[in-house]
Amino acid sequence: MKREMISDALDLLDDDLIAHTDRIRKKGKKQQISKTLAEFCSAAACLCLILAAATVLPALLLRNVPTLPDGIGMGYADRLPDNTTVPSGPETDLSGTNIPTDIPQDNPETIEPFISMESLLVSDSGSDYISTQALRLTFVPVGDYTGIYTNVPTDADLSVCLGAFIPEAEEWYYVSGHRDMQYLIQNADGAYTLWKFQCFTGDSYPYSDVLKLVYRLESPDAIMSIQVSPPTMVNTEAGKKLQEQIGNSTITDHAEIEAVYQVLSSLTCYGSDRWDIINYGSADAATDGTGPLDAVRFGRYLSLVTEYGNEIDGLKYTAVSDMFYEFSGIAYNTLTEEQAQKMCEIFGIETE
Amino acid sequence: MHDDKIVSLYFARDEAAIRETEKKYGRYLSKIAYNILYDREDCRESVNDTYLSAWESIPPQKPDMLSTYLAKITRRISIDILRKKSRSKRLPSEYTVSLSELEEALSGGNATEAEIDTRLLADAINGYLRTLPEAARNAFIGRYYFADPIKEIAVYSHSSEAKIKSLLHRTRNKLRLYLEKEGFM
Repeated sequence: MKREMISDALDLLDDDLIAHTDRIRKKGKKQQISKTLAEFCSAAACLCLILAAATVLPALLLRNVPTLPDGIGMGYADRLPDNTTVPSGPETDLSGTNIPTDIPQDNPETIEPFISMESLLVSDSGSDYISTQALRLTFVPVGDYTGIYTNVPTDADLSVCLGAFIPEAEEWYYVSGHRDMQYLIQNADGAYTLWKFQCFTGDSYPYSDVLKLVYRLESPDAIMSIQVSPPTMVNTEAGKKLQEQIGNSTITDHAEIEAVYQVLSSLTCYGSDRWDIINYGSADAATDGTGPLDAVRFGRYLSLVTEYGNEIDGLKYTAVSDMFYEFSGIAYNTLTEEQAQKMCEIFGIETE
Repeated sequence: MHDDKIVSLYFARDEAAIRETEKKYGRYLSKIAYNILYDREDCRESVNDTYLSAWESIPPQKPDMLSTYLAKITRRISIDILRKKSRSKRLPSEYTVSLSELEEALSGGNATEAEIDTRLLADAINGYLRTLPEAARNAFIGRYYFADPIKEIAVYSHSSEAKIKSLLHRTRNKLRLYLEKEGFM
């Protein structure tokens, strides 16, 4: 097969495949630039240290040095009048770098290397490792709310991934380069752990507060795309076949993203462990492979990709009960008929 | 400026559309062109032609993802420029090297060139790519669509160059088997 033919065929690759790879390429370049910048800043800080030492040390050493006979002098001290106080050099943090750690939250001048969450999270191929870990929860203040966070296993050295600390939440830090609170790092006496936002405490609250306070999504413009995939809870032959038929898709149309955002902003969240009000289809019918597989057919897993380089991957939608939900039973209100119809249209769910 | 606003400038036939496109995507498109052409002058020509092509095609086109739309134009124009130049001399570039890899993997076969429809071949490659795990798919598209050097792919894939080479080798071989099964070879 000639190269021209191959090249022409590659020219016709699907846009969503190209766009997805391009996003990974851009993230990687951003990290590489940040890493290079961090290395440059470290080198610059070391240079400042050396220069400061070169400036300060001679003055310190030459202080009170006795005047030598004419013609043989230290050069510096013997030119000074008596009792001159040698000024000290600039304040230098000799314990490390000069890069401040108490970075104000929204300082646009802050330079922090962007750490991709993909690089911190253990891959799914290690699912045995993940499933054997007990679910650990903790609480973190988020605005006027209390956030429930779950512990996330990671092999990464979190001590080098710390971003700015969160003043109202002692021991807690953003992940470097991030200002959202989806993932946070806790430093408890030198022990670093990674945590992921689950929900707020309380009976109910507007999901718009989660979008703003946790994910920093103030408008639909901050969402680059929404990845849509069929639910994976059914691993029978029939379930897998249906998943293949449905396939994955990516929503990039601005109007559709805006429509999803508007619906999400209108939702009320009822917290976790609310399986009593979530109905995504008959589990028995789904798992034995003989039923209608409603859970797969009418369900969709969503991943919102933001312009900040994050993926909000917990949301699921089911047209069985016209509602969004998440793992651990986080439930939301039932949509209106009009909202439900729109979501089915956008997510490619055929209800007829 | 958000892509929607840039596209609306094209629709309003406001020349600020080109300026905003250049501001947002100039470097990005230059990189794509350079991977193919390896010549700064030719890159400039390719990227400028891209802006012109975008101006002439939007409207009626209304791209959902402006970056992907522009990338496709730049890639096509750059390859055309390269093909014209290759008649006089073979230019070394990541694109030509990467294409040689694919050509070698897909050489031979029983089907003649005349029997292969480009669109159908593209559909087959798209179908194949969707069966791949994400890492393999990104490496393939990075190497053979964007013509990224192996070193760069290793960086954004958080992997080593050796692993990426091995991954691409396996992916090319599986593509060959896939296309044989589909009757393209």
